[in-house]
Amino acid sequence: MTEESVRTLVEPYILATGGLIQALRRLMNEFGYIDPKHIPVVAEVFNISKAEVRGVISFYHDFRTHLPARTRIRICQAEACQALGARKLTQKIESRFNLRLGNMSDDRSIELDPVYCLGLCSVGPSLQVNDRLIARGSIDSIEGIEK
Amino acid sequence: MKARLSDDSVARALDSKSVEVQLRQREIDTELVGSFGLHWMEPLLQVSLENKEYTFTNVSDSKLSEVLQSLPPDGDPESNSCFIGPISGQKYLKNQQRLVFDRAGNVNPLALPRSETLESILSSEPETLIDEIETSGLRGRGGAGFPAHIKWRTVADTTSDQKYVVCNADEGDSGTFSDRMLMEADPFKLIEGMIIAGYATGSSKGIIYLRSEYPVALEFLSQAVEIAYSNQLLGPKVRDSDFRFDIEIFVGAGAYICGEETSMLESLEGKRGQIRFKPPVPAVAGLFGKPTLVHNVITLASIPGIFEIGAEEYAGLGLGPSTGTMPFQISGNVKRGGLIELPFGPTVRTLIEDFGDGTLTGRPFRAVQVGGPLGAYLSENELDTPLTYEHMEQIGAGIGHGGLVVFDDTVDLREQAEYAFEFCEIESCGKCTPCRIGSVRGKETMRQFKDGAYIRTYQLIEDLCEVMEQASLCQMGGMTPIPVRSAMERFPEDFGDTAL
Ligand SMILES: Cc1cc2nc3c(=O)[nH]c(=O)nc-3n(C[C@H](O)[C@H](O)[C@H](O)COP(=O)(O)O)c2cc1C
Ligand code: SF4
Ligand code: FES
Repeated sequence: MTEESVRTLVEPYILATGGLIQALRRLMNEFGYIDPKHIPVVAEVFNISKAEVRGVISFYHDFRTHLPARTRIRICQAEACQALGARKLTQKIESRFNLRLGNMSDDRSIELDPVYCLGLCSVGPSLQVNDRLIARGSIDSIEGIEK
Repeated sequence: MKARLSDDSVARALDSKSVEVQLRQREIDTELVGSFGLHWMEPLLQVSLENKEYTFTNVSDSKLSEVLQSLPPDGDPESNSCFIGPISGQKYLKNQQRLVFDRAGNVNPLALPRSETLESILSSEPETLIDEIETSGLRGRGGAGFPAHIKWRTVADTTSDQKYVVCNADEGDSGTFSDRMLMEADPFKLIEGMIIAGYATGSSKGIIYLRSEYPVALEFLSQAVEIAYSNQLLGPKVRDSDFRFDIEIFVGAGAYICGEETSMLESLEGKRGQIRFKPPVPAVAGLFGKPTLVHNVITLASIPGIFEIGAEEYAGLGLGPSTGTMPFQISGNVKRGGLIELPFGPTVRTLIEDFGDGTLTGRPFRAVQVGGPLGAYLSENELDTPLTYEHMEQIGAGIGHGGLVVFDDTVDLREQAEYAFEFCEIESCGKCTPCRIGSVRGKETMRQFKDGAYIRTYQLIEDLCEVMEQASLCQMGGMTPIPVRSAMERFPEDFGDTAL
């Protein structure tokens, strides 16, 4: 990806509401992460310092600067899901993949991440596998997902 | 034969889409409708056949054949295990009083409703509308319960070339989903509410700040906004009046703190979502320094109903100064989780026992957290407290955004208190020390209860709570002591009771 094409991606947001956040989201959608190499380009387009761009990236949980895994499993850690055994479910999923929450397998096939409420609290515990929402989650919900 | 299948985040998370595929393959005329919020029944399928309605719950693609075979003339629906009587006859629904969620479940969320009330509102004096809101007694549903009309009047009275209505759809509290449900089941209600608020305060631009964890809500909302534009509900001449109103949807980037209004405004300016000092309040200098009316989704969606039934009648609902209806949400370890809209004042017990029907695990009830992660844990002894702002305050609790999270007797309140600090640590904006450092210290100290240092640990936590409560810049740090203290006070046995 050339510098020029990154510029083309983010330029439309210069004057938009929360433009920098929209631009960073655009990069996330395009590449699955924000490549640190692109930060100077974004800074220049928005006429702010690289530190300011990094500051925004580090503030929001959605923005990540590493390549994503093939399968990302998000496990809700918030209270309503805790009340239905989210802690135990998290442990089971962790041991199934031999991976701690918040980490990615070495071959980048699986990533386990916490999420704090998906709005499915009445039918928890809740999971999200890539884009798919799962209510009444159990270890069986992730059957078939292999490292 | 016509089928109506629920379609929202909950239904989809319970695999409603594969039911839809099956229905379409069988060439059954299928309409997707919103959810009623009786979540343990999802996916919900209503079939109309020769002027009769048949409702089936928990339908899956594997059960669908049997469901369809049970229909007349050849079958007997009552013999099917998914069958229930008409949905409108369900006690859970019948015992509610729905003003905000009146259309939810009954309609296709993307069918433009015809509102005559809106037209008459757009031809009245803005000032009289603010008077009506004052009469109604409407208070913010986002958590703080601040009287709406004060903010409206401030925005209206502040002169500026541009004013904004910002809808807070960041709904970060665990155990709350009423904003999500409304946006997915009846997005036009929110759009109408924003138009009225904009017209009354002289604001021409609305922005909905939607959390990124709600992709399905985004899907419905974006389509509804588009439909609104193509039908002159939004744009330069709203409903043929001279009033211009635009709505833009902005998707957050994952930060609980951005639900706090000043942090949200920072975020809308493309910055880190750090809290602003107040004053100035947003109603005077908000987004880009302009007067900004910030309201929660449910506050805004309550507005059309107020004008439909009349402000006086609205004010007559509820208990004391807690007027109108509130969409409560029960979740966690409960059999019948979902949305329950009622006038303020039902007891906690009514919601979790009469509606919720007890714990899902069947084990004894032990605790309920009311009002999200910054809300208090209540015990059996307090279940008869009516849910109003005033009654809850008396017991050191709050309604927050109306969520009740139920726990059975396996809950460890020490663990919950530790989590309250941990959540604060994860989501702190970092601007002030009591919250940024206090949350980390709190989490670590909570773990010491396990080692038996009860009295000293108890004192440390109490000191820390006092500092956080008194010296934090916003309620993130300021209210984290609420779940912590309530857990320690009401469930001392989980902390080693020598402390008390
Ligand atoms: C830490 C924190 C998080 C908040 N999160 C939300 C939220 O997710 N949704 C919301 O409507 N209000 C939230 N609020 C309250 C808002 O700051 C603000 O009071 C509200 O949006 C005003 O709208 P209302 O008057 O309609 O309630 C939060 C406040 C704090 C301190
Ligand atoms: S209390 Fe926490 S969230 Fe609020 S301003 Fe201070 S550091 Fe930020
Ligand atoms: S708490 Fe897990 S989905 Fe809301």
